[in-house]
This record gives sequence, structure tokens and C-alpha cells, in this order.
Amino acid sequence: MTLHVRPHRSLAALTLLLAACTGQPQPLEKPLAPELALPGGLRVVLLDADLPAVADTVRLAVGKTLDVKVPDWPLPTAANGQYSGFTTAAPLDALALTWSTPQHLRLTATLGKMAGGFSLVQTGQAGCGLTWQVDGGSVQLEAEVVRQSDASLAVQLSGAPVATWEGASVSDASACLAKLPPADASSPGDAILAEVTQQLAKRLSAAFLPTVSRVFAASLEQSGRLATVGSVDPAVETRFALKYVEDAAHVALHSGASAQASLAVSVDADRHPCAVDVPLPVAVASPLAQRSPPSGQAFLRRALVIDQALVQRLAWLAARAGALCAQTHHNLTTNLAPGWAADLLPQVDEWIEGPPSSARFWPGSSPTTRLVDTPAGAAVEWTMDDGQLEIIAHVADTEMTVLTVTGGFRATLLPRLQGTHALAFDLVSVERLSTHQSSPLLGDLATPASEAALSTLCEAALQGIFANQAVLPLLALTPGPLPPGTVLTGVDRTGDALWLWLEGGQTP
Amino acid sequence: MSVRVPSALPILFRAVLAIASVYGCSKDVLNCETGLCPSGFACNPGSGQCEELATTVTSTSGLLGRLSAVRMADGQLGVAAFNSERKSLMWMRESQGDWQPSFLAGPAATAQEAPAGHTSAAVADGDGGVHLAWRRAGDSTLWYAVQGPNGWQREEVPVAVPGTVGAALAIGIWQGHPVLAWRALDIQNVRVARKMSEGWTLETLPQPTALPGDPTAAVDLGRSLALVVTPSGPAIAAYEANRGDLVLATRAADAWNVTRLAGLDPKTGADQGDLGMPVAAALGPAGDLVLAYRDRVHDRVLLARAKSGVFAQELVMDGQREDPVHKTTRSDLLGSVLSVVVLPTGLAVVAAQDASTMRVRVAAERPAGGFVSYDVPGTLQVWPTLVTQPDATAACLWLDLANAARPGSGRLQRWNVPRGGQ
Repeated sequence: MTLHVRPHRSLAALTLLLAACTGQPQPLEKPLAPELALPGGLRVVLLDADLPAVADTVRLAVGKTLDVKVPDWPLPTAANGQYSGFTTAAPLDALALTWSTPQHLRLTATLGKMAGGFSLVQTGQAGCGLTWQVDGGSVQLEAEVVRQSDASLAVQLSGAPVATWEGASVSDASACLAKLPPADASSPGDAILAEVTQQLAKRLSAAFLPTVSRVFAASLEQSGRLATVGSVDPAVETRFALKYVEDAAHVALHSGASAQASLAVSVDADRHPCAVDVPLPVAVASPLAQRSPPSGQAFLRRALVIDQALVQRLAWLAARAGALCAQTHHNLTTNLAPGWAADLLPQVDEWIEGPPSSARFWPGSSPTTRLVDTPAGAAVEWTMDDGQLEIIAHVADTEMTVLTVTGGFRATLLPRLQGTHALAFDLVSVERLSTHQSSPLLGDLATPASEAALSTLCEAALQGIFANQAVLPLLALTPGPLPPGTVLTGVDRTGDALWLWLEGGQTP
Repeated sequence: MSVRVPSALPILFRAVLAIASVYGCSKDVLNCETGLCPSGFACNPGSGQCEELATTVTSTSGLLGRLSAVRMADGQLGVAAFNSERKSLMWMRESQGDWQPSFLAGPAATAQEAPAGHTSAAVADGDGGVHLAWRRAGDSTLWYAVQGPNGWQREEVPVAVPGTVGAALAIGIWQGHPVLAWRALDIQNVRVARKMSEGWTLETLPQPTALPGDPTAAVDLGRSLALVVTPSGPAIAAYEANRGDLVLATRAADAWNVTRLAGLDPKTGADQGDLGMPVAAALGPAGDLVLAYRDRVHDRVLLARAKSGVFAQELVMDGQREDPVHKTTRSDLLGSVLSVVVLPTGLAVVAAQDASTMRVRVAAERPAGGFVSYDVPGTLQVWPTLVTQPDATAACLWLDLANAARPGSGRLQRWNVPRGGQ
């Protein structure tokens, strides 16, 4: 099943900032194809401090043995008879809890070797004793939170439990078989085994239900935050057609140390006429390396982890949606010498008035991105192999394109905390890759009069273009999903993942 | 000379025909198509014929900046332009197919005078006179001259405070008196001066009507402006930079009425783009006001015409251009210079600067509605302006930089706009 979950505003903002401009993608007319999903593209990691109840539950339960006594149940094909006295001891080797939605939890209990005894009883006849044993197995149950008529919440099973046994067998049942009526199963022994399996699974499910309820009660708020961390801005969804796939979201517990919600993110956009037609890059999210939080964190710690593959797809998405076809009027005077025109266009600088008034960028390719480390920290490296930068200035009181720089561009964007509630991406460097210059007023320019002036101008122009959406208001725009007081405290990188660290907020 | 090219032929045949027509064949087939005419010809969709392009190159070079052109009472053209080599305002008068240049301001006109005429405006009155206004950039002063029987008489406009005159400037004739409008840098608004027999009067445009929801919004008016005199009085279209709106000021009786015409929702005040930088204005044969202005957000040129007191806006041309290499569409910086005229038929013609390709584009209104667009032949074309012709057509003037003696300054050229819209 696919559920259209609205994306995180901050993630969409990241899309924008990676795109660095102001495109206006149109809503898609058809649903996103499943192959567009990138499993593991986005993860939300909660450390154990965030989930004490879950961690405690798992820690307390694992290693214990459950004494199981199954109530008698009737023979399925006989009017008068029943299975009776089933007991066993179930050693709980592991317990895994997985949310598919904030309200829907899957519990998987891994059990060790078990054995039990029971009997078949028919009315008016003596009982027939049997034994049952397995080498091990698992029981999986699904539970969900439902709202009662009195508005209270209740936890209930949402389907039949599924039990899987290894090496299951029953003792020689020949003495009892005569007592059984003909069955549909190929083997009467199998029929008995199936009956036992089903009833045991039901009983174990009932036994686990209180545990599930406790987990829900303690962690529903947190798990809800996991899955709803991105339910904010429908406008962004329609513009960028970015969605999460529900059935790929899950929380996995790692020995009580932390939990992570792994979300598959699908992206697609109708191609803007200004964007080159490049297919969605093939990408696979890397396994998430565990990472210790920065020292000195507060009680609640969590991280939003963005995989490099997702960063690449977001860049592709933004470019395809036309967001890279950008114009800026800002920051063009940064570091720009007053004599820039004389340095670059000495033939006509006499008529060029003041600094450039604006710059435009036209992509001739789709950008590639990768996470890199710089001396200043983790950064996103953005490369456009083919693009054109147009510098516009006033010539005799008239706006004109005075210089075009065509070729490849590489920019390095450095994430930076802006206060405690926003993330900014600073363009810290621009590199020209085999560019050539021309001027509509003068034609091709073999070599720029000043390489340094050209680099400064290109950097100023791209800074202006990236400045359009360079702030990621991670928390300020999401008052609901995260606990009040949560702040963004750090950004770093592990392998192919960009970690945005959050801390603070109320205790559960 | 005409070349007729069928319009509904298979693509392959049309391609062959196009190649053939470029090399001088097939000149008598019907219905040309835009882009299929030989070099030196342009398709006239109205007649279905490829018409020879008429261009005239003046001998004067070294021109730079906006042109101010007027059709004088004798039917000849007059053009004011800045001569960048002499750093002076030049007046060129057409005479028997030739141009007679003279200098009106700047060191070429008056020894020791500072450069002048970078920005100018011209208008012809009904008595055969020509009125010019210009700005001297060095001290930001405003000057006025009228051509009478004894030649030009010039004066500094005394009511324009030196140091406050901006680059946007316009002139008209109202009730026989010259009226000037300019951007006043000190108040970021438009001042209007009128020369009466007893001297100059001065007014400042009132603030535009308050914005819904933001009645105290600051105003920055007049970075671009256009002035025409309607039967009821002067009308000034100006750009309001703080909100990116096109503002229209009309004078009735003794008061100005200033309203935001485009760029916002008139009821809610919601922003609807960046319109009006620049703006050009013309009068229709019935005295109706026609405005052409640039949409900076979408790189397109729009035209608004008053109908029954309500302005209706329509698209004239846009800056979309195919990029065959990348198979994409990009947008040119279209309309950084605009000019509009209205022919005696009531049809408008608009010239626009494509500042990305340095080409001039002209769009002529069709009687049935809409515009037909022409790429004016040539390269490195800048600062177009339109004038009406005695034969009820339009001519486009511009500066040609391709054949200039030095980079960045050009020669005057002219192209007669085909009767394509008819």
C-alpha cells in the first residue's frame, strides 16, 4: 500500500536550497511510480534517551521465559471434543518492535526451543495424550491504536498472528488418530500441528498484547513524532511531488541503544521547459553507520539523517522542475571591485554603470552532488557540467546582458546553524570548469582580462542565486511535530549521510 | 520584390523550398511563413509575401543610449541622441533622404560645457516646432530647448533643483505649452514642470492610492516613466519600484489622479508581479491611451489599452527562446527598452529590446486581435524607438553596434515595419 504522506517542509526547503533558486514546478498529474522510491533516503534517529519505555520493555522481556497455558479449544471437525491442557514454556530470545505508521505496531518475538503436552478428548471417551516440540520459532503480531467511542485510545490486534516454527513435530499420534474424524489436511499429524500452532500463536499474541500496550502508551508520542516529523506543507508536496512511502517506514531497535525510522522518499517532477531532459539518477541509499551524538547533549537527542543518494535525487528534482533557471538581484556586489567592468570588459566599461544589477543562470545539464568534508565542516558539493551564467548591468540607463560565462561550475555549500532553529547553506567557494566568456555587445572574448575578477564575479553571482533559498527553517516552521524547546545543535557527516542533530524538548 | 511560400506543405517540401528560396528560387509561390524568407527579407503574414527589408544607415556613428524620435510637421524625422565620442547631445534631422546633424548640448555645442544629453526626450508641436528636454548627468540638471524660426533656444529648467534630476525623462505639449516630467531623486517621485508664458510651474505627483492592507507603504516612483497628453490632459505612466507596480497619473481639471494600474490585485493588494520597468505610452486616433510595459518576472511585454474607462491587458510578445543544443527553452531579457506607437488605424506597434541577444523585436497588432512579431534583421541592435510614417505605417529606429567604428557606440538605422498586422 502506498500512502501519500506530506513531506517535511525542511526537506522540501532542502530541495530548494540545493536547487538554490525559485522554480515553480507544477503538480504531477499521475501518482509516483514505485520505482521512483529511494528506500532509506531519509532516516530519523532517536537515541535511547528518547525511548526509555521501549528500551526498558525490550531489555526486561528478552531472556525471560513465558509460561504459556492455552485454554482448551474444540476439535474443528468433531461436534463433541476438544484439545485440552496445552502448556509450554516459551523462552523469549529477542523482541523487535516495528512501526509501519504511528498508530500501527508490529511485534516480532523470537522464541527458543519449546516443548509441551496436551491431549485430545472426545465426549464419552478417554483422553489421548500427545507431546509437541519445536527447535525455535517466531510469532509476529500486528496491533493498532484505535479511538474508542469515549475518545479514549485502545490497543487491539489488527489481524491474525503469524507463527513460524522450526523443527516442529508432535509425538506419535497413531493412538489418537482413530479418534479423529477425517480431516482436510494431507496428514492427520500435520492437522494437529497446524491446530497447535494456530492456538499457540493466538495465546502468545494475547500474552504480548499488554506489552504492546505499554510500549504504545510510552512511545506513541515519540513514534508519532517519527512518522509525522514531515507533515507540514501541502504546497510543497504539489510543487515537488516528493512523498514518503508508508510501507517502507519502520523503526528498528538496536539492542536498546537507538531507534531509527527509515523512510523511502519518492521524487519526481514534470520537466520544466528550461530543464534538460535527464532521467532520474540511479541511486541506492547506503547503510547507516551508527554515530555517537556530539558530546554535551541534553536529555533528548535525535537526528535527521539525509543520505547522499537522496541529496542527489533532490538536486535532480529541483533541476528538472526548473528551479535552477534562476535570476538574482542580490549579493552581486559582494567582494566585487568597483572597476569590475574595466577588468572584464575594458572595451565598453565606459558605458557600464555601477555594479551588475542582476544575474541569470541557465542549466545545460543536471547537477551532481556529493557530501564532502571541508576544513570548515561537512558540505554539499554541487557540480553543473554545463551551464550559462549571464551578468546583467546598466548600459546607458538600460539593462543589458553584458557578459555570459558558459561551461561548468562547481559550488561548495556549507551547512551552518543559524540561531537554534534554522540551517543555512553558505556558498563558500565557486570553481569554474572549462568556461568560456562572451559578451552580447562584443562577441566571444578569448580570455578574460582578469581571471581573478571573473572568478569573483561568478562567485558573487552564484552566491546571489543560492541565497534565494539558503535558509532551512528546520524547527521554527514545525511547531507541532517536535517537542517544544527542541533546537538544532549540530551538522556533521558520516560516510554518505548528513546528520542534523537536534536536542532539547520535554521528556516523555 | 516578393517571395511567396506555401504555408501548408509537408515539412520536407517546405524545408526544400526554404533552402531554395534562400538561394533565390521560388519567388512566386503563395503565403510565406516566418523564418522561411531569404536573407534580407521578412515574411508579411498579412500579404503572404516575403518583403524586402528597408534599412537606412546614417553616416553618423558614435551614438549611444536611448533615442528620441519625432515626426515633424513637414513629415520628416528628427532624432535626438547622445554622441558618445563628442559626449554631447546631437540632433539629427532627416532631409531628402539624408541626415543633417547638429549639436545642442555638451562640449561639442558649447565649449567648456560638461557632457550632456545622455538622457533626452523630444516632442513636436502642431506648429512645426520641436521641443527637447535633456539631462546633464554631471550635475543632474534639467534642460529644455525649442526649435523656432531662429534655431534652437535652450535654457536650464529653473524649477528643477540641480542635483535631483534622475535619468527618467519625458516631454509633451499640453494646451500649446511644453510639459516635462522627470524622476526627482530627492523625493523618489515624479515632478512635473510646465512652461507658461509667465514662467515655469512645478508640481509633484501625489502618492498613488493607498494599498489595501498597507496604506502607509513607501513609494518609489518614476525609475521609468512615459508622458502623453490626452484630450483631457497629461497622463504619466510610471514604475513604482517598491512594489513593482505600473502607476498611472492622469490630470483632470486641476488635480492629479494617481492609481496603481498593474502589478497588484486592486481589491486585495496582493502582489501580481513586477510590471512597468520600463513603460512606454502612445495615443490612439481617438485620444485613447495605450501603454506598453515589461513584465520583469516573466520576460514578456504587455500592452494595456483603455476601453470604456477600463484598461484591458494583453500579451504582445515574450522572451521565450528555443535552445536547440540542450533542447530546452530559455527566457531572454526582453523589453529593457520599449517603444509604442498607434497607427491611424488604431492598431498598435511595439518595439522591444532583447537585451540577451542584442536584437530588436517589433510586434504589430492585427486587426483581428493579437500581434505578429518580427525579428528586425541585423545584429547588435540596441535602443529601438518607433515613429509613425506618413503612409500610416511605422518605422523602427535603432542603433547598430555591429558596424560601429568603436565598441559600444553605433549608427542609426531604420526599418519600415511591414503591414503585417493588416
